[in-house]
Parts: sequence; structure tokens; C-alpha cells
Amino acid sequence: MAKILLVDDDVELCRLVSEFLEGEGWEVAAVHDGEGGIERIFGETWDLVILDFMLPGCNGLDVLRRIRERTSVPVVMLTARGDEVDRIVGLELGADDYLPKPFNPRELAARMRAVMRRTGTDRDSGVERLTAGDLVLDTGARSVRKDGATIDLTGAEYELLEILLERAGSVVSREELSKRALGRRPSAFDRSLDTHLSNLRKKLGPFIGGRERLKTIRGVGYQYVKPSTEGPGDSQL
Amino acid sequence: MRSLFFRLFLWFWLSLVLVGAVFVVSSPFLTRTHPHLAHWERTAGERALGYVDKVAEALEKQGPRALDSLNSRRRMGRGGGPGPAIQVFDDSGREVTGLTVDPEAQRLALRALEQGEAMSQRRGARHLSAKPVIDPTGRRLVVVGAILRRPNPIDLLEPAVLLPRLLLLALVAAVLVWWLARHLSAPVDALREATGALATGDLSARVPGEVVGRHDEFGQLARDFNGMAEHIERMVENQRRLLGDVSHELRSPLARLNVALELARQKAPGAAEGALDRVELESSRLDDLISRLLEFTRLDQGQLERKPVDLVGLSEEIVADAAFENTGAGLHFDRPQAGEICVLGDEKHLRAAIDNVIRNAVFFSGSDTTVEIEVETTDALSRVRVSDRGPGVPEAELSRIFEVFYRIEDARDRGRGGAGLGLAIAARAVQLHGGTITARNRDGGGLMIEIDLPRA
Repeated sequence: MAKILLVDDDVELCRLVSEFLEGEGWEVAAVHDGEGGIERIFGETWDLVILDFMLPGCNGLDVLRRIRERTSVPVVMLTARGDEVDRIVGLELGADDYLPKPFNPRELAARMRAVMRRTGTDRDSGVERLTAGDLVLDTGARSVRKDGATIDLTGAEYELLEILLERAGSVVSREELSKRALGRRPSAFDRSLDTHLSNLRKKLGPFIGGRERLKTIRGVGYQYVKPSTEGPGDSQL
Repeated sequence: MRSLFFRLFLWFWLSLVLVGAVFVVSSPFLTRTHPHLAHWERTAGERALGYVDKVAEALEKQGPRALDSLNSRRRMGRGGGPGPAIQVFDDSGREVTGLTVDPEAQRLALRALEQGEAMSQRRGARHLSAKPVIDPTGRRLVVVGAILRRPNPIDLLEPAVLLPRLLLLALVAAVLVWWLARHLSAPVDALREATGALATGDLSARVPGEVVGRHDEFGQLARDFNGMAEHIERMVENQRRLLGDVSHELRSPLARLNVALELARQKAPGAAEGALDRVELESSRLDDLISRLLEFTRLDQGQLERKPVDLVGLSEEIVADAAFENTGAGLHFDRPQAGEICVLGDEKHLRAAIDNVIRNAVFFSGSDTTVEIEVETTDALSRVRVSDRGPGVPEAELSRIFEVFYRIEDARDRGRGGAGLGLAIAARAVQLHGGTITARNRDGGGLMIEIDLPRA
């Protein structure tokens, strides 16, 4: 059973997250301040640390810097949404992944698994590759590479891409995407599916030559265009 | 009329010149009636005529020797010009005292010789009298004396006399009045500039120190204005900070809510699915609302990173993004001839502004209509225009749609989401760039929003 340390000053949130992660089959301990966190991290061996950036007394970045001086334990950091700088500096300092608060705990769990798979000992288990033109999906580590360069996707974006790639060339309905990737049926004015897909489209960029990768089929759903370059036949809706 | 300065200057200057001119022109009429002057004139005239008689008598008795004692330096002339007080002519019309010949005096002398009697003549303000005498050597001479009578006032209004005076007057008045007008209009200009800046949203606008330091009503007004601006700025800042703080604080319970929700799903899979989906949807809406509130409050934090931004490329990108999300109206982007239209600004803010305006238009348009986006430029500004065929906005509420949380009654369905923040974010972002954002209803229905930015 993997041992997880949660460093966050929100005591109640820690209790809830611990309960959720224990339900996912992990052993979780929680610390509520930076100094205590550093002590616990160095005192025991952990499989993963979840580190909040807004810690009283001691900034999360300092904690991360000090952790990295001595250990390479995987770290997932929690940032306030929109704090781009925190995120970039955090990744530079050696965080393995990040998640903006408020987060969906299912996504947190998925990311933790991916990080542990990527950095952990069971590197060889469950590695599967899904290739589509210049994109390569590593379904084990839940990572995406485009021409060899890693693209930084959120959990929901990754799920959506995987579903669309599985059926590249055909249209996937909004309902199916929403159910499978977000775990719920889309309601009439739910915009989050479109927002996730819009972000995914921006992160992936168009094909070489400017052709859009993702297409909207109005009123039906979305389509990942087959990366074949057989003329402009299907480039127009 | 161009400005207060110009008006003040013109009015003060005209009235000063007018008063001065009236004074200059009327002064001969007025001084002339003074009783002392009349007395002086009478006696001076008598003395002068008496002098002619005296000179004539001396000539008769002593001959040319008398001429030596004639004080030729005493002159009486016309308008200050040269002219002999006493001239003596012989019968051929030659002036014998050696003075420059006064032609008028000469003519009168010859006439007096011809007639053989004393004569006098008045022309204008000048009074000449001639008296023929025969000196001891038998030579016939005429003594002519010229005196200035009280001049006719009309004669005093000669342009040559008045013009230099009036010009001098106008010049001195201009200098004084220019200074006065400057003194009065400069503080008004400064105040106007500050109020204008405040009105367009620059809450840090203040009246500069030189006006504030004045000890008059302008100084008082400037100090009051600055006090008021200070107050407003602090109030708005507090409000924004409160908004930011509240939003930030809402995040923690929301994060806990999300975890509790998943916990419920985890503990009882399949139970109350619909209700939990609903909780998740509402929680994500709350999250979205908080994010936008924070985005709005963050606009005012930190410096703008001003760089050249191509509005055409930016708009095209945003249109492509918005077109991808498959809701609402179609989008049509008119690529301008110019190719690139650059402004100096913070790309993140400008993107937020254009993005929010376009999304607002798409959101409120039917799926069978088209939202049109145009970018154009003039000498002074660059403009992004977004026109839709949605329901439009009641005329009276047009200016309010850029306020935070503003919604039109009835017309907008809260169930559709949209927090009433998009246009507020757009307006604030445009304002920070020194631009303006305006909305108006289109002929034939729909709303048109224009973002005007100063040219790079």
C-alpha cells in the first residue's frame, strides 16, 4: 500500500482528501504547516507528497526547494488557480505535477497514479502506447508527446484526447465525451466540456500545414480529424 | 470659440481697448471745456498778438537791429511741428530773420503788403496775423505772428496722432490681459483634465500641485477635488480588494465541497447519481464564477506589460477558439485590408477584452444568426467591432451592461449561466489601456460593441 503525505493548512480539507484517498486504497498522513511537513518528509519514506503552495509561515516553494535538496520523492503540488508563476516555478524546482485548487479528487487520484507510475519502481507495468500521426499517448503514465515533446494536459483533457483518438476520424457525441471523461451527463448549459476541449485544441495546435486537429460537428459532437493528408476533401464543414 | 483662455483674452482685451479708445478719442472734447484752459488760451492769444504789435513797433523805430533781439527760438507750430512764432517778410516775400519759410505765413504776408493793412487769418487751429510796417530805412516789411487757437476737437482726431496711441494701448492691454487670462484659465484647464481622467476611469488622476497651492477659490476647488478623488479611489480599491478576498476565501469551502462530493460517490456508487451530478455542475459554476471574479480583481494588480499587439491576428485567434466551441451563433471575421493593426498593450488583457465581448455576443445570439467581427483603424485609434443579431439591450441600460454583475431584467436567463462579469472584465481591461468601450443597438435588432484603443 502506497504511503502518501498531504501537506496543507486546511485541516478539514485534509481530512476529506485523506478519507477519499484511503478509499482509493492508499495510506495517507496529513501535516498542516511547512516546517512540520519537512520534518515528516525527511523522517519517513513516502511514495508521494501532495504539497499545497499556500502554507502559513513557510511558503510551499521553499518547502519544495528544501525537499529537493535531499530527496527525489514524487511531489504533486496544489496551486491557486491562475497563479501561473507559482506553477512554472514549482515545475522548475522539481514538482512532478500540479493541480489547481479547487480540484476534482478523482483527477488528483489519477495524477498521483500517473506520477507514481512514471517515477516509481513498477515502471514496466501497464505501459501502453497509442499513436496517431505525430501524437503518442502513453496510457500508463497518462502523458502525451507531440513530435517527441511532452504536452502538459490536465486529467480531463487527457481523458478527452484518449477517447477522441481511439475513434479518430469519426464523430464522438457530447454525451459520450461528457460521461466518459467527466463522469457525468452533460446538462443543457454545461459549458465545461467545451472549455476542456477548447483548451485541448489550443494545447495540441493544428496539424502541420494549418489543418485543425479537432473539429466541431455542430449539434452532434467532436471529431479528431484523421491525420492522413489526402487533400483538402474533408477540411470544410 | 476655442477655449476659455481664448474667450477670456478676447473679451478682456476688447473691452480694455474699447475703453482706452473711448478715452483717447474723447479726451480732447473733455479737456477743451476746462475753464482754465479757456482763460489761458485767451490771454495767450492776446499776448501773442500783442507781441506782433511790439515787434512791428520795434521794427518801425529801430530797423533791422530789432530783428536781432527777436527771439527766434520761440516757436508756435501746428501739432507740435516746427513753425516760427514770428516771421518777418520783405516785399519780395523773403523771410529776413533767417527762419524756414512758413508758406501760409508767406502768403498772408504778401496779401497784407498788397492791401497795405493788417490782416488775420484762421485755418484750423492756427491763427495767423500779419502787420505791414516800414522800417527807418524805408523798407517795407510784414511781421507775421502765428498762434494756436483752441483747436477744433475734430482736428485733434488725426489718425497720425491717434493710431500710435491706440496701438500702444492695444499692445499693453494684450500683455496684461494675456497674463490675466492665463492666470484664470490655467487652473480651470488643469481641473478639467483631472476630472476628465477621473471620469474615464483613471482613479489616480489628481490636480497638479501648482493649482492646489493657489490661495484662491481655484486652489480650494483643486484641493476639494483631490480629496474627493482620493476618497473614491480608496473606496473602489477597497471594494475590489473585498471582492478579491471574498472570492479567494470561497475557494476553500468549494475545494472541500468537491472532495466531499466525490467521497459520497465513492462510498455509495450509483446512489443519487442525478443529484450528485447536479451538485458537481453547480460547484463547477461556482468555481467558474470565482475564477472570473478573481480575473476581474487581478486586472488592477500589477503593471501592464505593454508590447505591440496585432489586433487582427489576436481577433482571428479568438474567433477560431470561439467557433470551435459548438454553441450559439456562427462567427464571421472580416479580415481587414491592412493585414496587421497594432496597438501597444498587454496581450493578456486585450485578449480577455475581445474574448469576453465575442463570447457575450455568441452567448446571446440564436444559432441561426452570425456574429460579425471587424477590426479597423483610423488616424487616432484602432477599433474592434463585434455585432450580433441577439435580443439587444434596452436603450436606457446600454451603458450599464459594463458594470459588474449587471444583468438585464427578464431578458437573460440565469439558468444559462453567465455571471455578468464578462463585459465588466472587457471594459476594465480596455480602460486600463486608455481606450473606450461602447455598446449600441443595431438597426434591425442586435447589439454592437466597439472597443476603441489608442493607436500604437
